[in-house]
Amino acid sequence: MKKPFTAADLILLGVLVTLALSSYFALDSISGDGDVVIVEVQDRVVQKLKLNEPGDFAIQGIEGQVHLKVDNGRVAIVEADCPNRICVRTGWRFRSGEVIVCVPNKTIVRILGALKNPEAVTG
Amino acid sequence: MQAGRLTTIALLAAVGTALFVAESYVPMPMPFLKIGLANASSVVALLLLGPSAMMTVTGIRIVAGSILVGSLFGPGFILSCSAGLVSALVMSAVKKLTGNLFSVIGISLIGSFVHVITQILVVFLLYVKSPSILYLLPLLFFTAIAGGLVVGWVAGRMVGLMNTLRLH
Repeated sequence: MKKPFTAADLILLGVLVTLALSSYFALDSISGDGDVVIVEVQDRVVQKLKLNEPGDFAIQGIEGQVHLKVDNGRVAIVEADCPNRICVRTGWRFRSGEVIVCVPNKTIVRILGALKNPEAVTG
Repeated sequence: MQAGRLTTIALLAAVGTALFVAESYVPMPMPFLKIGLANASSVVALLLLGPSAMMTVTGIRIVAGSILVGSLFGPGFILSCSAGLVSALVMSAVKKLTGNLFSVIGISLIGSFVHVITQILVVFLLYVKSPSILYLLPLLFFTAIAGGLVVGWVAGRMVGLMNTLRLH
């Protein structure tokens, strides 16, 4: 193992990095931004919001309140009554198909839009 | 000769199993993301002993590792198994066809990419029949590049070490 890299290795690495980058940009361009936000608590749709209409919303979850904010075409859970606050740390989301989940409150925030099948992006 | 080969296969399978188990304890942002260090033992087997030894080592480390972790025949096992074997096959073929064109690092990069692609295909066919899993591709590709580089480097060091040890 004198030479760690051969020329072919470097070309391969270049090709793979290009592939990875282009997959990122390709997805970015097809997936598109979402239009509608659907909020579900315990599998019931409790609120429908539009991503282009900013505002603050309070949702009644199982454990307590979940505060949603829509701003600048994005949505986030900014505050919630739950122990781990994973939903808050999920941060701002705007792509169709993305979801924000607050498990203790059984609250799911789905972004719908351009993509045909927005379900099941994450569990 | 035959005994030496058998010993090396056993050693590599053991190392691979240990790495497989150790890696299952490393926290990752998503459970399916992995560097795939255990694959280093398969790559070493390919370089030192050839394709059939590699398949043996890969098979043993995945089955033994899954038994120890408790994921035998679960979804994770099916993914590791299919992706591990396909990527081992492709690495063997590439090594056979191109000889010394690629170094260990190149071979392992190809392996980790094939691993990721097989995995996403299997997930798509068996579990999530939705194009939205494509969202994971960039993340998986970049992990595959990082993993391929690390695994290749480690495998190279292991081959060097094993060669010197044999000389003594």
